[in-house]
Amino acid sequence: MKLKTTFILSLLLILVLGLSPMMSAAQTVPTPDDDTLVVVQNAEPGALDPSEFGGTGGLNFRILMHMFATLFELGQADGAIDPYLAHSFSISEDGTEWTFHMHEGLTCHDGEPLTAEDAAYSFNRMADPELGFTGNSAGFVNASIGFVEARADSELDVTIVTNKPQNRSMRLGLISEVLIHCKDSYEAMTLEEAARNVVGSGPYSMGEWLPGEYISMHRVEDFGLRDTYFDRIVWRFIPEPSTAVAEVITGNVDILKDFPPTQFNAVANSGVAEARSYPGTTRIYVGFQLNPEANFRMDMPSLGADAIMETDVRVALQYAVDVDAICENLLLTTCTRATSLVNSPNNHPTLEPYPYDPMKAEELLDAAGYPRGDDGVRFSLEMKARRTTGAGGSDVALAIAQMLTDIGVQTEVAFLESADFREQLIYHHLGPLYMGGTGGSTWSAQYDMADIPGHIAGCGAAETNYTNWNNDFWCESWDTLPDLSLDPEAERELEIAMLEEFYNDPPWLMLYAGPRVEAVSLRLDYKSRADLFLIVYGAKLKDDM
Amino acid sequence: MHKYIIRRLLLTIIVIIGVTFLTFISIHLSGDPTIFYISERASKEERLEAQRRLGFDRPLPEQYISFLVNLARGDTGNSLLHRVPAFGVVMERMPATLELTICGFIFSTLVAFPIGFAAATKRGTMTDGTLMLAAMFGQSMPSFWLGLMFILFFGVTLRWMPVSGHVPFIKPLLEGNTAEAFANLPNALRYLAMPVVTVSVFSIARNSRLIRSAVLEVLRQDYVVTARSKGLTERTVLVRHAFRNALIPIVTVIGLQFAFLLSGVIVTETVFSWPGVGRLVFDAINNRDLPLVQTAVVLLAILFVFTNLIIDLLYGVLDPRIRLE
Repeated sequence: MKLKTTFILSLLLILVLGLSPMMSAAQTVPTPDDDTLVVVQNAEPGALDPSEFGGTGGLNFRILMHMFATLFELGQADGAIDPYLAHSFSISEDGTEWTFHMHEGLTCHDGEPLTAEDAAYSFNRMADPELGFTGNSAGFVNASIGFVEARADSELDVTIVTNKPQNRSMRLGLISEVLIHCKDSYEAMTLEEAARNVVGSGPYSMGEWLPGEYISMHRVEDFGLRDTYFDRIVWRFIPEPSTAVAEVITGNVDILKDFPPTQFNAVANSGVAEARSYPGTTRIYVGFQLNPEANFRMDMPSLGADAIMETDVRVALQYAVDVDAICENLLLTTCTRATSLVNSPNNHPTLEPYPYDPMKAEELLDAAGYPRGDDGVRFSLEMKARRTTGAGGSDVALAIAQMLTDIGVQTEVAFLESADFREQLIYHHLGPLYMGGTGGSTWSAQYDMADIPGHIAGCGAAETNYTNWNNDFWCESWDTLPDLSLDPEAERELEIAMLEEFYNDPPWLMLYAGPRVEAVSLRLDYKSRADLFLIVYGAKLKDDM
Repeated sequence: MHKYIIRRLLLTIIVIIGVTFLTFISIHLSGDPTIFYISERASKEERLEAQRRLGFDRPLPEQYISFLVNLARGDTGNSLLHRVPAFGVVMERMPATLELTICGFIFSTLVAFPIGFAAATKRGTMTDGTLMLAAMFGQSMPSFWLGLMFILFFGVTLRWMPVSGHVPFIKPLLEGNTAEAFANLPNALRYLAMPVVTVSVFSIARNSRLIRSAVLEVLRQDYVVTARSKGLTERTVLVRHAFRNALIPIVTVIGLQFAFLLSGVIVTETVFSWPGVGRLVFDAINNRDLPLVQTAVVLLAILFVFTNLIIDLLYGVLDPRIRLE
């Protein structure tokens, strides 16, 4: 027996010793070094097709923006839109055709020249209904700019044809979200192949994709349009925020954007990474559902559901919410209360946010004809919310419900599963109140205003007008805006008047631009940006590292 | 015996029809999956077009029968999320799940047996009390909390273990890259350690309690008394007589535990960023990726049925009195 045990142990020892020369070739999880930048995001992309940019199934847009270039680029500086594959553009007299003049000598990652034909192909491909793309390009940009077609006028000039003139920065920004890819390669691929294989046009090329683990990308040596510093960027997918923070603290990750503010100090005190907190662009609000045919109104009519149809009531409720307290106590930061749906710096220049004044809220509700009853309740409301954390999370919903209850508007929070929430939101049945959040920009007021109305069905019941707000002045003005696109002063004047209308007849209980919390390794020289994007190719080691 | 196996395999078809039907109904009951595959800004016409393209505009019975017909042909459809065949998406995650399952199974079994035996043979002593108290704690601790504590203590504070991630061993092995697989082995074990212990704690606790009571039950039997009265050593009595006869209930539970682990341990996979099937299916459910969920369910149902079959066959091996007809 002992002999047998000794024999087995000896065999194991020989095996391990025999394997040791191979150890150098062993695979491991990528960690940061002088040549490698490691970034974390919580979700893995479903597909990496550039026409599915920003589509369902995870944050593919952050990854794709490193492998594909665009005609212009939403710059690092707030509000900037910088030339990229195109150095300039010109606009037709009627404002419907935009011609972009591309740089000479560009190449795709497959080695083929990158020309206007590729750019036109990229736009036409994302808009092709037969291909069924539903991401940001096909589902949002296409409709927002009124895309008709793209054509190559010459080797370096591509024209985007639209059905309407439009605000300059809004259109340029939207066009900057369409990834330019290479016709020959993508025409040769099936949709299945394009979902997994990337032939890009940007500063980094596709490396390895280990499903559920990471995607790596390598620097394109001769990409001359942007300065890049790391040979390799690795995107790790870590769904649990606490684990991602632990990886930051142990120095295994360089950048983590958006983690729970409760872990801010853990990062800040790590001695390895810096914790940054800054205002983001996601507009957090409580929506008043004004759809007269919403399910809850039809199935179970209530005084509260009727009350919020009145402007006076919606204004009164603005005074009941203490935004500063929410930010300081729940989000552990400070924030500025919004005056409309437009982010800084394009918001209304002079409007003051509604102050926290519960007494005034009560006075206004009394005046509106909703006094407290014997039980102290004026009317009841239900607020729908997702069970999430962060700026628009469960805690915030519960705090707001309590603040409304304090002024006699008895508010219960009903937490919905994410899919149900989304479904009711899209069909304009979510309410009477709902905890909402919608992405925004720093580069165009109209981009932010485009939530109301949408771009296809007109005003009122338009798709993204989730509250079904039907304000005549807003609707008419929105239709007028394109005609003013060649007169920026008049255009801005009308924008400001519209924002005042939003303030005075609010479809939202206005809160704040959701603060972002980001962890950045101390070894990096890297500038954070307020929006959802995470563009890290400009990150470099600090001089003293 | 052969008839029994064939009958059980035929029953698998009924099981698959049952579970796919329930999955199909529950996903559709939770709403229209189309909304996940259109832009939030899509018009009504675009929604209808997407519904048609995805096949969700057809009556539910027709959709389900069509799925079964395609399944019979070996086609489970494309994942809506990944836009590639769902079967391939599930299979590429299977090796990581197998690593966690096999290691978790071996580890928990190896630890649970001595604990259960020790507690049973020292019944009523301090050892028994301590081990069973520890087992109760093990069963009570939620795995997400335990996983995070391991990360905090061994990963962040002591820096002994990697916080999260995965180094493949089975995948290169299946691809025929034996050298790569064995070169990866030391790292693979390092990355496996904390997830394996996390998934195992509950199993160790439950199994050791089960083993204890099974062994105690057997120790009361007449044949054990006879064995002792024959003058056999306590070791022989325990190993030859008690152990084998206590195995039947233990094998049942441990076998099912193996199947359970195979179906993916969502919480552990999420906490340790482990690229397994559990996390994949969880994401697919959240995105109502029906083809992917259905594919995973079919595969897991087959695994469950086979595991049960193996357990049943083992009964006959462990106790020759049991005949499978």
